[in-house]
Amino acid sequence: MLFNSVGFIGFLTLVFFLYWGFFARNIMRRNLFLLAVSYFFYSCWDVRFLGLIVLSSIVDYNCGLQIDQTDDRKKKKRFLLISILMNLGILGFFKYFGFFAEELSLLVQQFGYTLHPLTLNIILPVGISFYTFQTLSYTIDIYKGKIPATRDLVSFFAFVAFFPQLVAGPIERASHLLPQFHEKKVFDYSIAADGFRRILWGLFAKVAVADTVAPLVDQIFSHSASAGWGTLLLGAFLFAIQIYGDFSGYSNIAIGSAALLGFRLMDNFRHPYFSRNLQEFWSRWHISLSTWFRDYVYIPLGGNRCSKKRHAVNILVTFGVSGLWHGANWTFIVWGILHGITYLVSRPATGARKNTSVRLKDMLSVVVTFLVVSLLFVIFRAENIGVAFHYLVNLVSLKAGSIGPFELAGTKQWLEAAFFTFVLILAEWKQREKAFALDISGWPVMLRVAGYYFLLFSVLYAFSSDRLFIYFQF
Amino acid sequence: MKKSLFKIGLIIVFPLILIGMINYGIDPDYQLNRSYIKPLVSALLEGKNIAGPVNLNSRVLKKEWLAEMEVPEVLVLGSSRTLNLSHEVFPGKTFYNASVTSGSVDDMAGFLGIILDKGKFPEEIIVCADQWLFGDRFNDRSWLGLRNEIHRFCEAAGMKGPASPWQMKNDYLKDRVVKIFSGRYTLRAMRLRGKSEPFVVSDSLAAGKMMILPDGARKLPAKIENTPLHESEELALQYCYGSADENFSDLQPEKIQQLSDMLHFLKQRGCRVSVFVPPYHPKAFDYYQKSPGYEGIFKAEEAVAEVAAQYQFRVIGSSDPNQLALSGGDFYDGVHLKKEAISRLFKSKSW
Repeated sequence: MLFNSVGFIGFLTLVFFLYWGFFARNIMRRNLFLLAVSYFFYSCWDVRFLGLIVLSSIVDYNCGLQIDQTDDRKKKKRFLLISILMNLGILGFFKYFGFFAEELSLLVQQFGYTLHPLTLNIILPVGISFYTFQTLSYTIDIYKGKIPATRDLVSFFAFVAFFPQLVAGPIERASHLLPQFHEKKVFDYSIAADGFRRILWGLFAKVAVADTVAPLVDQIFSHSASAGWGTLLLGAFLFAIQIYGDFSGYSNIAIGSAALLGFRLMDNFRHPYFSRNLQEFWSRWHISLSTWFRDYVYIPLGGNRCSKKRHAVNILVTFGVSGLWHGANWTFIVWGILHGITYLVSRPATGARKNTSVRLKDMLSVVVTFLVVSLLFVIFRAENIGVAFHYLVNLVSLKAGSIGPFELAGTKQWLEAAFFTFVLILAEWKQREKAFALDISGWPVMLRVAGYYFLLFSVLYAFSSDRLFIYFQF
Repeated sequence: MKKSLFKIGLIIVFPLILIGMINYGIDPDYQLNRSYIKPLVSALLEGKNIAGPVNLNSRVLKKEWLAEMEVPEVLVLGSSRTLNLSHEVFPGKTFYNASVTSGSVDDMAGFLGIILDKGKFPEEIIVCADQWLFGDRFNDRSWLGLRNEIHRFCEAAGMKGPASPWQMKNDYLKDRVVKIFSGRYTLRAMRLRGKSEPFVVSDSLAAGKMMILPDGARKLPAKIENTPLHESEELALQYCYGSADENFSDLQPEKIQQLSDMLHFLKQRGCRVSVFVPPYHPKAFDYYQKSPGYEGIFKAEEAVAEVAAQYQFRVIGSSDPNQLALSGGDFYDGVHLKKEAISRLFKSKSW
């Protein structure tokens, strides 16, 4: 059940009314209801893999309790290890088994041997990378003494499977989300209205922007061998817009849906394309994942409290693993490592400027950062490293091509994409100090309603079919 | 809470009702109100021609039409690439062209599902095996209009359908809801208000109009039929650059299996099947041969030939226009043969 589908709108409406009408007052009943609808939501994807969520929940619930109850360091470590092995084992098997088996076979071939890798036709369960990381952080945090283990089985299961963020995040921390399952909920109009605004803005970013731009990106990448450098550059920019619209759109719908039920999810994007350097970009892009890697990979490796050399290695490892998290393909790994290298190279010159707001005078550094991010996204988007390499070589060598943008798509398609992209960028710029662009609760009523109607009509205009979210494949 | 919900509801529901009313009321492309189809079917059964936007809802039109007519001796199942194949090619035989724009194997199953109820099958069936049908890029779902018939045929033929009956119905309803509330359709409705192209029933052929003929074939306006070579070459390249349907390297085994199951069923029913592999414009063919990422076209042709051979059915045509002695002037764009050329191709075979 996709967020941008008629089915989800019906599902959310029904859940909303049942939730506030019958279940919200009693915590136990409410959490049972949320668990049931979350499992139903996931079953709409593929009921076979529901067992994995249940397994992950059972193991981590028990590991959490065992770690919390004992003072024996060895026992704590043993249960933490069980949790880590189970979660990474599931993830590794479903996501990386085929990739590593194939790579191993190729490596062995280099030495003149033949290895027939065990090829299993493994389907990737949707959301696996997100909920395994969420539950992993739970047991790690208990082990580190940051949070106590919960004894409320239903709350914990509902926390793992909470449908707004189950399939593509934000990857929540137990310390933030789990206590909310123990709170009493009272309907609050301002929170619900904020949720609606988030959903509307998310739908606009996904349906009107990302889905309008997507066919143009597909066309440019399909014909990258014959396209000129200008078209290739446009393709890189447009993919950056597409993936942002797609993923930030998803995140806003998730946050908005949770808000309708009285839950607060963490922000996942903070206007990342107005970053003035890569450090700032990574503090604004896919925040829930980058902070996860910071807390559970980068810092345990030693962070920056070590030699310069070691620090550089820590950064490269963190970015490399973060790239691998996206999928079993060299494109993601190289994308991650190149981000790490660029991060290291640009760091001494610019430094992070998280706390100052972006001004017009910062435009040059904003444009340069966007350019770098867009070019690196070419590797992320390409089918394989070879295609990405040729794409980038043709682009930077300013190769003249035989196909221009207007041969790949009609003028109307380009105009629609340009218009919606312009609206997205303009709104994000105007509202860059706010959590999201449609945070307009303080605006005059007429202006607000006009804004809502414009966005609603744009979504209805661009909506054609249920188009998948890019991050669902991860 | 009630007051708050009412406020939110009003903001969302009011524009939706307005858009739905405009779309349903004006319905500029005949997408929502289909009461016009039955009179058209009656006129076609009486041997009249219809001019107008004949590509719209052509599945529903042909579904009703085929249900009302006798089983023809020669039946064409295909896409726009066989739509201009007419009865003149098969003299002395009853003929019906059930091709539809963006026709797929599912559409073919749907039309065969209608024939299934008649208890008799055509002697000769021409199946158009468009190369893109076997890749992963072609995603047209217009066949949902034939969902019940597809299900009936799949049950009878033991063929795996595109989805379960429940899923197909669900998808069809979702598509209807999307159409009713489509903002794009609203803008079109406001622009075309009262000026939609009408359907005109006629006894004669109008040179400048697109028409559907009483044998199911489509007649294109003379301007398209007479497209000059340089224009067809331009259109061929535009097609290559603009269409993603051919951009696949690997075949979808389940789609080949669908074709195989359908042919197996027709073999059992004693039908003679000719599988048509439609050619590309020489410019388009050249482009696909030289560019990476289009290997699927050639694999599809091979796979189709293998499946046809399995049931001893003949293959007509080829992706390569040179093999069929066709030149650029025989096409009116990258993938469509002119009427004269497709007739020539089929007349050269024995029927």
